[in-house]
Amino acid sequence: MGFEIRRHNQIIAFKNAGFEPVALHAHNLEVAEISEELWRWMPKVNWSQSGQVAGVMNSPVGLELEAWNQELDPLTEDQFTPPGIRRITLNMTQICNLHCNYCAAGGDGSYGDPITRISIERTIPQLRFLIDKIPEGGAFHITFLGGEPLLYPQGIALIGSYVQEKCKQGKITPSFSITTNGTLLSEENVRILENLQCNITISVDGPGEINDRVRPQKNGESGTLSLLEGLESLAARRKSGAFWGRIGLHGVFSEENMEIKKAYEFYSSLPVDSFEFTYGVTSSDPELSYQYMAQMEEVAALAFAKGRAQELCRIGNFAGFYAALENQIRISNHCGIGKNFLMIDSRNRFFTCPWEVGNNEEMVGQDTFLDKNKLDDYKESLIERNHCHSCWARFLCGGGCNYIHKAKTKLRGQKDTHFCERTRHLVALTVHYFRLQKQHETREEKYEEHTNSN
Amino acid sequence: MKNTQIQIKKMRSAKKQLDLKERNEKQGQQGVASEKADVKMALNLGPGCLPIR
Repeated sequence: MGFEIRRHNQIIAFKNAGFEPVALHAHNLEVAEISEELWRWMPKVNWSQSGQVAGVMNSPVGLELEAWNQELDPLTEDQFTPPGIRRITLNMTQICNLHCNYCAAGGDGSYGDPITRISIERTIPQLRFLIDKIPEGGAFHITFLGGEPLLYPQGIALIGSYVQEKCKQGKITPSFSITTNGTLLSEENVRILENLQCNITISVDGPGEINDRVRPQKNGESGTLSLLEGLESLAARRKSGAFWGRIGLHGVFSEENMEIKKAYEFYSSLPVDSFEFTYGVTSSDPELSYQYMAQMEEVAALAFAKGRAQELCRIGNFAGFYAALENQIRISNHCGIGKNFLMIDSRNRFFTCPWEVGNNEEMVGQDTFLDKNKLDDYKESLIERNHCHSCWARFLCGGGCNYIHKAKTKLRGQKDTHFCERTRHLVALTVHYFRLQKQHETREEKYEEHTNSN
Repeated sequence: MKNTQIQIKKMRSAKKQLDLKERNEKQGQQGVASEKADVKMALNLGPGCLPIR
């Protein structure tokens, strides 16, 4: 990777070949250009290092950095998490028409428990139970998941329509999203999603020759051709003004396929809003993790060259970090696990996380019962739970993915060091491009001022 | 000791600069000084101009 990193307590600095050093205040989430002199003064660290490191206070530059280190910026805010369950993911089915090589949901989308359809009769009271607890003016979000959720489109229509009506009565704002393999985006199914103005995430790992190899359809046909047809249909509906949900593409990169750059080029050619490049949750090869970081670095450079921060932020892996820097908002929870988010499987059981379906230890209720004692276990922030206090990326990472940490280390509160390295690297890339964007904006402002004064 | 070179130059977003301005205006005189410093930062003036901390 092109970056060298240095640290003095809360201040982490990065230097990319050919660029001036840039620093991040880990607590205040301030970004600053720093002098070469200051950079040289700071002690070197490596990507896997999370503990505090301090320079020796023997120079004026050191004292100046220490002064910044000790500042508390009143403009920095903490992420607000309203109390109560506001977001759920619902397994509409636990079956799939694909058989992805790397499927972490039991190998076939079933989580080891194939269920054709969730019961509407049981789901409606369960949703009422959750929505009734939300105060007026609040929001409620459902993500339809599976298996493949569009194998039960009538269920999506029924649940969506109930939630819309129920929320209207309670003066609550409903919103919907779906994660689908995109092979079943028929005109009829598109209309169902359009009625909910559902944000759509399509799982696709790259161009046809890659996607059809790692995500084969059980019927042997090309899933990529089907999803491209579906995307055309969605694009047409958007053009007509009838549909305004966001469309994103999501790829998983693992031992089976690490062609992130090819995926980015493919994604960029399609009529969508955003992309996400996820590292396979079951992958544990350090070399593969390194390849992921190297390719993300290339993709970030391509995106920024194409359209600066706007294009970079079409990539979800950077967009969240960028927004947190832009607004100086500290993120203490990587996700809402056990706090404002729950997973409901096709048997109407509550789990803490989509990856935990079928794990009795992480089952926290069923139907209209929620186990308060089990949920209390998630009261502390993920930064606290995962002992991230001294990591410089903690307020952008928010403690990381609980499931990945636990899956890799088998211990509560022990982190997957490769996950942490990848996250720090993505944060460093975001800080680097944040600085370049701000430099560009400053030049534009100066140019505008110069033009106006003439 | 005063450094002759800018050692740290913060880069706030436009939104945060406005937040800072509003906050400082509420705080009276102190705010005027801070606001000026912030404007300097936005204009990227030369050596000797330290950004607001």
